[in-house]
This record gives sequence, structure tokens and C-alpha cells, in this order.
Amino acid sequence: MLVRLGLLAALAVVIVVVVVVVAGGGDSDKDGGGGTKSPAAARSALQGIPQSGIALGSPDAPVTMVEFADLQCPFCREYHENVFPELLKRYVRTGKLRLELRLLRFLGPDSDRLARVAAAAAAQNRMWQFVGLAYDRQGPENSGYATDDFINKLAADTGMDRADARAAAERLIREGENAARKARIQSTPSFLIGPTGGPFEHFEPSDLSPDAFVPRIEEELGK
Amino acid sequence: MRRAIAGLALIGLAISIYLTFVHFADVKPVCTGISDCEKVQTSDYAELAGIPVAVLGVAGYVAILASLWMRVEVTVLLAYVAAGFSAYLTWAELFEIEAICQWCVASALASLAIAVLATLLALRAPPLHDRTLS
Repeated sequence: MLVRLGLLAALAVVIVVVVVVVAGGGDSDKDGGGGTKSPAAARSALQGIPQSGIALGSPDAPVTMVEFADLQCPFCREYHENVFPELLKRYVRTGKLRLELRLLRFLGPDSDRLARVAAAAAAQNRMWQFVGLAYDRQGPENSGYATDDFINKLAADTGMDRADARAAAERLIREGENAARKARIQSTPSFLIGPTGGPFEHFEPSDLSPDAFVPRIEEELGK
Repeated sequence: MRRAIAGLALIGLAISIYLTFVHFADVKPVCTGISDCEKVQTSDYAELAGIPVAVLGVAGYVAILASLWMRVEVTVLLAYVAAGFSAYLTWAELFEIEAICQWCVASALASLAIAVLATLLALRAPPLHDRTLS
């Protein structure tokens, strides 16, 4: 019986290994970014919130906060993971705040490649899903992690239409950079805040926690 | 022994059904302070080839329950596969997702206990002997 049990154990190990390898369980490793969110979860987090180009939230929201970010920047990721979900829940879902995201690409070639596809996603009103997954799978700065495969998978997981959105992407990127130049943005993440439609003021949070953002947003809502 | 296995499999089945419900209803699982069930449930590891692992859990525990009416080797093989798969998921929780969900741990412990009991059952029972649940 012991031999039989040993054979059964060996067979069980083989079955588990084959299933896991063939089904590609937790294939985030192969993306190089170690992402932990499933595409479905990333999409459902934004479900029901209006998106238009680079904007997230109701166009009638009284306040708009503009973020300038680089998808490779670790602090931008920190903001997206620690602050963004809270703002989404408290202000964006409730129609009080509208967020705009201007993607810059000053860190390196990976920033450029990611920003272009994000802009293409914006043209399809899916930029925020794309950005969420891109941060989740973010690799070390300028390690060359944003390979074609990485970006193609991101685009596919975002549910983007493969139609060529290159021209739209190029235009949006230029717009973002012009906006950053006009606002004299020097680093990421940087924020502007003000009534929807403008004018905007610079907003420098003391740290990347929701507590640093909430009073400023409340102040703006009270105006 | 078979009753103990059946009891553990029912516990595992209940957990898996609950987690399947959580997965499809898109609600947050009830979670203790030290664990982060939501992080685990929404991770890449929550699905295998598009099938939620909670659904695999339901199928696995149902199969183990059904196998109690079959040759003991079937139960042993299913129990080992379940324990092996649970071990893989627990490894993923600890080292890849870096979050623990107490439901998943409970299910992993249940499958481990089932594997141990099934081994004892097989060692006690003469092979090739048809048995029914008593």
C-alpha cells in the first residue's frame, strides 16, 4: 500500500504542476511587473464612472484635480495605490470631483511607450483602466520592462480596441506636455486643482496619503 | 475516518461556495484584521485559465465527497491533488501576492487534513476492497 500511496502522491504532484503551468496560474511573473490585480478587478473598480479621454468622473463635478504623472514613477504608483482609491470612493463616485491625468514621459523610453498606449486608451475612454493595470505591473525604473509583449498584454487586458489610435495618442501626449509646460510642472506626481473648467492652482500635498488630499478637496468643494 | 473526511470536505465546500459567491457578486469577503482577502481574491492568482479558483475548490470538494463511495485510491489521489494545489496557492499568497486570506488558509488546512486522513484510511483498508460510507 505504501508504494501505491507513493505513486498516487507522485501522480498528484504531476497533475498539480501540469495544471498550474499549462493554465499559466499567476502569470504576472512573466510580465516582469509582478502585478497582483486581475484585469476584471481593475475594470470593475471603475465601473459606472463616466470617462472621457483623460478625464474620470462626472463632467458636472464642481471640482477638478489635474495630475501630472509618469507611469514609470514609483511615487505616482504610490499615489495611485494609496490615495486614488479613497478619492474615487469619496469624491469621484459621488460626483463631487473630476480627475484629469496628464501623462508625461521624462523618465525614459518605457515612460514614452507606456504613455503612448495610455493615450490611445484615452481615445477609447479606457485610459484609467490601462493606468491602473500599468501601475500594478510597474517594473523598476528604466529597466526596459515595457516590452512589446508587456504593452500588448496591458492593452488586451484593458479591453482596448486594437484599431490604430496612433494619431489620437500623439495628439494627446503633445497636449499633456503643453499643459505641463504651461503649468511649469517639474516633477511627478504633480497636481493642479480648481473648479471644473478652471482656473487651476498648484496643489502640493504634504505626503501621499488620502489625509493630505481630503482637506484641499473639501476646501475647493466649499468655495 | 470517512465521516471525518466527509465533514472536512463539507467545511471546504462551504468555504469554496462562499468564495465563489464573493467572486461573482463582486462584494468584499468578510475578513479578519491580519488578512487581506480582497487583495488575494482580486489577484491574478484568483483565476486559473479564466476559472476562479473558488469554483475549482467547489469542484474539488464535491469530487472528494463523491469519491468516498469509490475505491480509497481515488479519494487519496483527489486529496493529494487538492492539498498540492492548496500548497501552491498558499505559496502564492505568502510570496507573490504578499497577502493572506483566512478563508483560503482554512481551505488549505482542510485539504491538508483530508490528505492525511485519506492516507491513514488507505493504510488501514485492504486495497481493492469496495467500501461504502457507513
